[in-house]
Amino acid sequence: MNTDGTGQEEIDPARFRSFSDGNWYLVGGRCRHCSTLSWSIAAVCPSCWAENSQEEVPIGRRGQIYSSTVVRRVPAGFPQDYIIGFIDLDEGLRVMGRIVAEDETRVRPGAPVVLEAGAVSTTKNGSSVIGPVYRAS
Amino acid sequence: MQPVYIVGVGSSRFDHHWELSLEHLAAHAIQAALKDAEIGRDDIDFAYVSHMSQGEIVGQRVLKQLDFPEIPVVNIENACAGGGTAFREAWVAIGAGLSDLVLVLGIEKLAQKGFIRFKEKSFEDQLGFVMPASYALAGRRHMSEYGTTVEELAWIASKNRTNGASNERAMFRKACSIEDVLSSPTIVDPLTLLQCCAPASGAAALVLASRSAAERLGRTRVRVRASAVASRMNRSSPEDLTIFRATARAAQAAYELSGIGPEEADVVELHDAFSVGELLHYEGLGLCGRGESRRLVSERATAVGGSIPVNPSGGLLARGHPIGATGVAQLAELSLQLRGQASVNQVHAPKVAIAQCQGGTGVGAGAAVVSILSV
Repeated sequence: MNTDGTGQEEIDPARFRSFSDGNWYLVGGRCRHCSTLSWSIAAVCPSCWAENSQEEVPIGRRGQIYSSTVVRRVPAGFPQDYIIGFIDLDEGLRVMGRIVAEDETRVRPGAPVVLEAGAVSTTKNGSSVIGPVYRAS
Repeated sequence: MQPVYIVGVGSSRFDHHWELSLEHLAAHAIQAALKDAEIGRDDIDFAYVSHMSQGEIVGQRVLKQLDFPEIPVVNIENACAGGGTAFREAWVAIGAGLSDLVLVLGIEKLAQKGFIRFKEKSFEDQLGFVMPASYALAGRRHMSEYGTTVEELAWIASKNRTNGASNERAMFRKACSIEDVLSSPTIVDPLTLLQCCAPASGAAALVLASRSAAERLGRTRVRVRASAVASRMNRSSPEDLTIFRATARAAQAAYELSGIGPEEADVVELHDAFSVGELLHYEGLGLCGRGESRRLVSERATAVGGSIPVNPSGGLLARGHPIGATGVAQLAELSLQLRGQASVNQVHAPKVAIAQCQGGTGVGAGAAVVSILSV
């Protein structure tokens, strides 16, 4: 994790970061040889087994909720009653993610979501951990 | 495959057991299983030992303390499906004619409270993924597709905990109503505390025998008809949460191997780590069609006395879940059922029993084992 000195830390930037268009994305890996896409960069392509063949591609900006739930008994450092779920990304992947909404009745299967950077937890020294958060609106 | 029989079963009580060593727990289970089979340690020619987190060479360490002869020992880790996996390997070894009398030991000492967490920390854990959430998300999807209700899930927990109330091997021995289950604290919607299993410590043991050994011992009542293992290795393709694929695949393989179908089952012990698990396993095992598990609940078909009793021992919810021991304990309970010797909730004259355990749900990789026994 990086520390930028403002009481915020970024979650693993190899999985989630801002790209040149200024938006935050999940860091996808696409194989130069076989075009297989996954969320994360693997040293060996899971499909064609080429080594170091994956290039970063921004993915996961938009998707739809597949299933969601509210965690009420929360692990240390996590906010009370946070929402997690599976998101069907426009790219065809289904990933687990945090979900937020002004109106929680909008959090339901099929609801469209957009990715943003938000606080997912708090470290022991009080810094917010900034990670991927899907907003349903 | 040569015929294989279960000729001895034993189990420690499952509990936190903060004060008992791994060897001590193993001694309880092994001693009981050998006594049940009326054999001694020198009769055993091979041992398969299931555990998840007990360190290196656990089987040899434990059997050394019980002064076993230097038989070959294989240690097996397959998360919560380890016990079923060890049993499957023993069945294959005897079936292939390589062994005569095999000890299957499942053992776990968990020095933890709260929920079971795996060592492998995933990115999802950093986002707030917790083990009950994988089952909760599956349950919520099932609810949205099929209209399943929180009361139906709560009934499953109430049934199993009430079944386990009279099982002296169980960790929790308190009967619960649907209202008790629903009024316990919510962990992850819709799972309340009483719908979640607790980590436990304990050991369970079986003695498996070839036909000649079983005949020599006069113990040919409980026959192993098949045991099949299957995997979940989902990397990135969208996965249907309303079915546990590994369980469905293991069941299919076990039915094909045995020529016995789910409609023939008289009693089932399955992996109710959470109430949602049991509901989905009804469908995965083919006890009903896809989306029909609600019907089994509304008909109370899986209660003791119903058309297909499930978890008469109390299941993981009442017994507690010593990871590597759970799958072995299920088979021990079912053997007693088939012998007509279940100390609690004896099903009327069962002929076919199914055991199912699965592990690793939620991390995208897992295992499931389905085994079929008959008289």
